[in-house]
Amino acid sequence: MPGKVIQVINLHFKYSFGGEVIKGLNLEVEEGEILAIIGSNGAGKTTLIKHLNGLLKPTKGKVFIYGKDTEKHSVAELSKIVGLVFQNPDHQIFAETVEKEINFGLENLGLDERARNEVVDRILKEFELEVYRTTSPHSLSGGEKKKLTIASVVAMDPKILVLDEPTIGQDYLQRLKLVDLIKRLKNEGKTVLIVTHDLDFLMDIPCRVVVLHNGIKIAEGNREDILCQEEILNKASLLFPQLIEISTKVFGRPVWVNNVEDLGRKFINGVRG
Amino acid sequence: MSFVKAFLFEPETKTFSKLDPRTKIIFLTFFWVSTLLFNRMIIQIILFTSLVLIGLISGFKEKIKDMVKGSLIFTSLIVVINYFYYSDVDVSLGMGLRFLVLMVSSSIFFASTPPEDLGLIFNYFKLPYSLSFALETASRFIPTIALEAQEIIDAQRSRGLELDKGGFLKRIKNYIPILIPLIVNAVQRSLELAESLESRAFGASNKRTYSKKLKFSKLDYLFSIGMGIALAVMIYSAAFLKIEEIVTLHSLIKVF
Repeated sequence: MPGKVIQVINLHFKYSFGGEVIKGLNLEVEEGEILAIIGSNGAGKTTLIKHLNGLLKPTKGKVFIYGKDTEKHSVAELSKIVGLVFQNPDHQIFAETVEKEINFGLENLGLDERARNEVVDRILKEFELEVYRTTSPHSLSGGEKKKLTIASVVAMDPKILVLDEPTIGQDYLQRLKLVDLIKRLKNEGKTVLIVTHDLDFLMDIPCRVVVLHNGIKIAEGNREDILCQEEILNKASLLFPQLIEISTKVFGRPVWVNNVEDLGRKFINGVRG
Repeated sequence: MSFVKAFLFEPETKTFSKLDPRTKIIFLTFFWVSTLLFNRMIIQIILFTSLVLIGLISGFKEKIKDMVKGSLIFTSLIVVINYFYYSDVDVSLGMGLRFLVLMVSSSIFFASTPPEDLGLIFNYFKLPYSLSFALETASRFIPTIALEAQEIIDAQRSRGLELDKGGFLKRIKNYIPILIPLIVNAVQRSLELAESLESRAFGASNKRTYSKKLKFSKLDYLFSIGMGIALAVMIYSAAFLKIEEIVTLHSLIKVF
């Protein structure tokens, strides 16, 4: 029976230089679950995930990670459990080589050289970064940089992986690989949180969806339900994913379809009556 | 961070912010010249108090608080070093206050002056446009870089980096993962900005026009004349009245 690994209770947060960004948010995430957090710009998505590893402390309310109160634990401690991949890879990379970049988090965790080398070799292979092992990360393309930042956090083997806008700058192939990675992590029992505007990306990932708007949770449910609710998506300044948009045109209302084949099948069944 | 925050331009409209940038330069000149003319504490207290009063009336309470908080360690260091050098409490405290006057007046100036106004001032003083643009752009990017620095710190802390861990050298080393991305991004941004500027005909014409023009209002005249007179009084007091030799800490103690 999976337990609740993330508990956000009546979370309020206010930056010192502005108004309240999160207003009484409640959220629970179970072990091994994939949760997508969607919403308009300024909805509080990034602010929320920065609470998960203690970078931000609640103005009011509580955040528990595996039962640990984030206010009572340091970011360094929590980063062993929560791996947070930031939106902009240029904010993370600094090492001379790709290999050293991946090594950085492992050194912080206190792994010995042998263990580090093993992890680095495995991660470089898994993420197809072996050819760049001794390359400067700054010379990589935007997509490769993004892949490297994800790889260097996955290397730390966190129980919870949080990805902030993971598809930005990724081509179709890289997106598919990202989908595979997320599914593989789920199969390994990891919990994955995805903050995204890219609803087409979510069509490939079975997940629960939370919609934020102005620091408030306005909807929560299975992606099959949420991604078909135009009113909620519009409120969050989002549009239907392409497949749902087509299904709306075809059936006159938004109908959930898994893929193009499913759309065709449902259409034929509809025509046959 | 409070030190950096104190220098950031505040877009909220305040009466002081509405003044012509040349008036603000006169304000800055008054406090910088006056504070450098005198060494002892009493005059510095008068200067600092009047500066804080102007700041509070103009609505820069938070900026003053941030600046004083951010300068506290450095100010204390100045006081201690000067005490060892002069063995005079009056002068050493005066030096500390002088530093605060310099910092707080600069903070009020930058917090109330939008970057484009800085560009206009540079142009007014006949600086080449490319140079004034570079200075204006540098000041414009301070808030962006401050935010970016915070984001980089967050990203590295999320990977287990502890900035305050270890001895002095280790702590300095801890900042490498922060400084490298910050510098690389700044260089990258400047290259991209240069390309973007050139794509929009930067420097194509010798006769450039400006959408905003400098204009003195009645308040500007009043403020500038007031500050000008005050500056003249300060210079006269320092040069001819030798006021510092009359009003010292010891003389005040004797009086009271």
